[in-house]
Amino acid sequence: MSALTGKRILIVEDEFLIALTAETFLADLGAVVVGPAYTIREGLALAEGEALDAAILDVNMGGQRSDPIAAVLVERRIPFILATGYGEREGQRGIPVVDKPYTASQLATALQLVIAAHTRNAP
Amino acid sequence: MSHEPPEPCATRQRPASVRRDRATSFSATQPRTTGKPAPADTALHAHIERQNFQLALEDRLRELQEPAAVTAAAAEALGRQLGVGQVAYADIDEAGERAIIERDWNDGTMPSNTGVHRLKAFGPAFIADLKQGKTVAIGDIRGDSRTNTPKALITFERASIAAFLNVPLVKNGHLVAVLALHHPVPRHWSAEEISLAEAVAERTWAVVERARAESERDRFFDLSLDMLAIVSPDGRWRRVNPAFETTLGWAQSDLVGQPAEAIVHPQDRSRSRKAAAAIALGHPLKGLENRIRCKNGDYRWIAWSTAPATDQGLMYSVGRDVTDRRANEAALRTNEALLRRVLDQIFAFVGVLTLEGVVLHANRAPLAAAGIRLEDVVGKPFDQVFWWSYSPAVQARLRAAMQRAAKGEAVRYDVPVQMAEGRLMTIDFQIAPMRDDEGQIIGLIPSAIDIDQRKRAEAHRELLINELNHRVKNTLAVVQGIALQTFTGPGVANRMAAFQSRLSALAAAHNLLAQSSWEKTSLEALARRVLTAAFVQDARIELAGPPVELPPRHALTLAMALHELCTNAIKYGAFAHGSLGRVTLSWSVSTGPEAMLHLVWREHGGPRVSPPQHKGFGSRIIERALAQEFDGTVTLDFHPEGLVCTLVGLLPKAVPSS
Repeated sequence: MSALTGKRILIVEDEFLIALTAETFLADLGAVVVGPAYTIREGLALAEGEALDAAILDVNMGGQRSDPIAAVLVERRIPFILATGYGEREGQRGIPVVDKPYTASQLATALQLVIAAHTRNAP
Repeated sequence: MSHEPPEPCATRQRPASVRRDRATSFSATQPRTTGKPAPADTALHAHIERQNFQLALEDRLRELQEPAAVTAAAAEALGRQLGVGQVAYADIDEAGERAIIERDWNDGTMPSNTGVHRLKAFGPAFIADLKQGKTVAIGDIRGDSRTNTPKALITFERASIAAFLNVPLVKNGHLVAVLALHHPVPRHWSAEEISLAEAVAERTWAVVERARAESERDRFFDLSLDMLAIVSPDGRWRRVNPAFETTLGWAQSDLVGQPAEAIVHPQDRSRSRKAAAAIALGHPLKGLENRIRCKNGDYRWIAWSTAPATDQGLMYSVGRDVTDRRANEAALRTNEALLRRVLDQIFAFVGVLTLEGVVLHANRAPLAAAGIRLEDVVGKPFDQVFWWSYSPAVQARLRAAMQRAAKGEAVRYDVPVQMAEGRLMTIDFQIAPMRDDEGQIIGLIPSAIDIDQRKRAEAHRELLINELNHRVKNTLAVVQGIALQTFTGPGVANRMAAFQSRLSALAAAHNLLAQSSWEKTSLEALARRVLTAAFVQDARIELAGPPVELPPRHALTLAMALHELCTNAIKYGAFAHGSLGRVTLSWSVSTGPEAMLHLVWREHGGPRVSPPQHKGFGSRIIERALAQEFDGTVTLDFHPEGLVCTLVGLLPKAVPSS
């Protein structure tokens, strides 16, 4: 049992193998994977339509930024983390970033952090 | 007050000689009307005699230049004319207390009274009369209430004075001189005699004052460094001062009587002649500059100030040698023109401002870039000029910088300025104080270069490097994915975790290098990044060493090696589960022909250590890859109290990667 057991987590990632890695990590952590979405369009559909506890967003989707999906998640008050290869520590508006390649424990730590923060701030 | 002791009065009484002296003419050289006049002619005769006397005196005084000679001549003439024992011209000091007699004339019967005399001693009563400008004539000092006090009598007797006639000279309310006629025996002073003495006193004073003024003027004339000259109506030098010789080499005798134009440069003659014509019409002239020939043939530039004396047709000229000044001015003009040409051709932006920030000049480059003209900026406050006018914040920053520069600081910063068509260009801008030879701040110098291209290139390169980093890291993530999917099954989970953390360490080093454009990275930052990635608490590691920068390849290898040391410490050493051990990572650099890095990883406080049974990937990275990369030696000492890893190797200069 981990803190992520049973949580519905959306994966948005345009690179198949990286998405597969995230899927594997989340499955090992007992989470329920939503997606993965490989395009912005797919990601938007899932972000708008699915019941979600959290999301992992790749920032650069084949040259396009995933900002529209982030906007939907913010709108729906769904916590999310960013996954990038740019070496940043933190994205816009203080959103946590996991730096690629990340380990299962780095991913778990970051997700638990945003879910916990969201739960605290929830009405 | 000093006096010759007076001789007894009796010895000097000689009334007969008085009349005799009077009968003789005062000067043998002056023809006079003499002879025994008929009684009816007496008045006329006296009148003619007095006129003749005054004419003769006038002629005599005109020849004299020294004030003392003038007073002496007047005293003698008057003394002989009136037949008195002594005549003295006494100057009165500023305080009106002392009479100074430089020279007196004596007929031989009276002792000289030269020296300084206190006026009070002669009795205040008649001195008061003198100060009011009243002539005092006393025929017998013993018979006059003004002089027959005991004290005054002693004074007069000491000076052998029995009768006197004092004519005061009062100028601007002050008694300035007294013409004093003394006689050793009592005598009568007639109205004609008093009137003559008064006339002589006035005339003597006037001549003395003129002589004094002339002698002062002569002193300045001789002393002046400027050339002073008087030119006759016919254009010839009438008088020149010694400065002509010191400046031009011409002695006074070389010039006086010669045409002034002769030493004027031929090319300057017509100009000088026109100026002289204007002066002759009564217009004073200042600032005529012409070339004057020296005795040795050279020419000097002389600036003249000339005033006419139209009644006599004379010209009074003052000339100053301005040759050096003209040469300096010409040099300055040449330098200024050169500087301006240089400034206008350079690509940098340069200006000159007053201390208050008003634009005095700007070179061509910033004007051309902004599409404005010099007239658009000169005379305006610098911060109000087109370049800055697009942003109040930028203007405010500029004003603050100008204030600091006016206090002596050079202020430099990068800032965008407005150029033609509203385009913004980033410049490397500096405003610095301009100082004079004495170090006084006299203005401000703004200067700048266009760093727009450089800024854009920098931004572009940063973008490329970030993009590359992103690609590399994505690739590493893909490799991770492949490994994860390839090595599945029981017993591989631990190895898979080790593989992933190695990839993380490599990725962390990439991030650091990307931040510094793949040129270099700090050893300390690298160590921290690797340890953070392995979740080592800051409290359990101590980093100690000087700032050291590593080039990319060295950084990557060291990151991998530190990661292996860290992993090993977590498994078996100071960071092992349940242990409170610590690690000290210290390094130093020894300078010599080549810089040597000495780096030590020392574990302590962990479980007892024994050497491993076999060497794995970690050991090989540490011992071989690290040693090879740093061209040095690495030792792993499995000391029972804790592992000690030592690297001694060459520290290459961090250079930009090609």
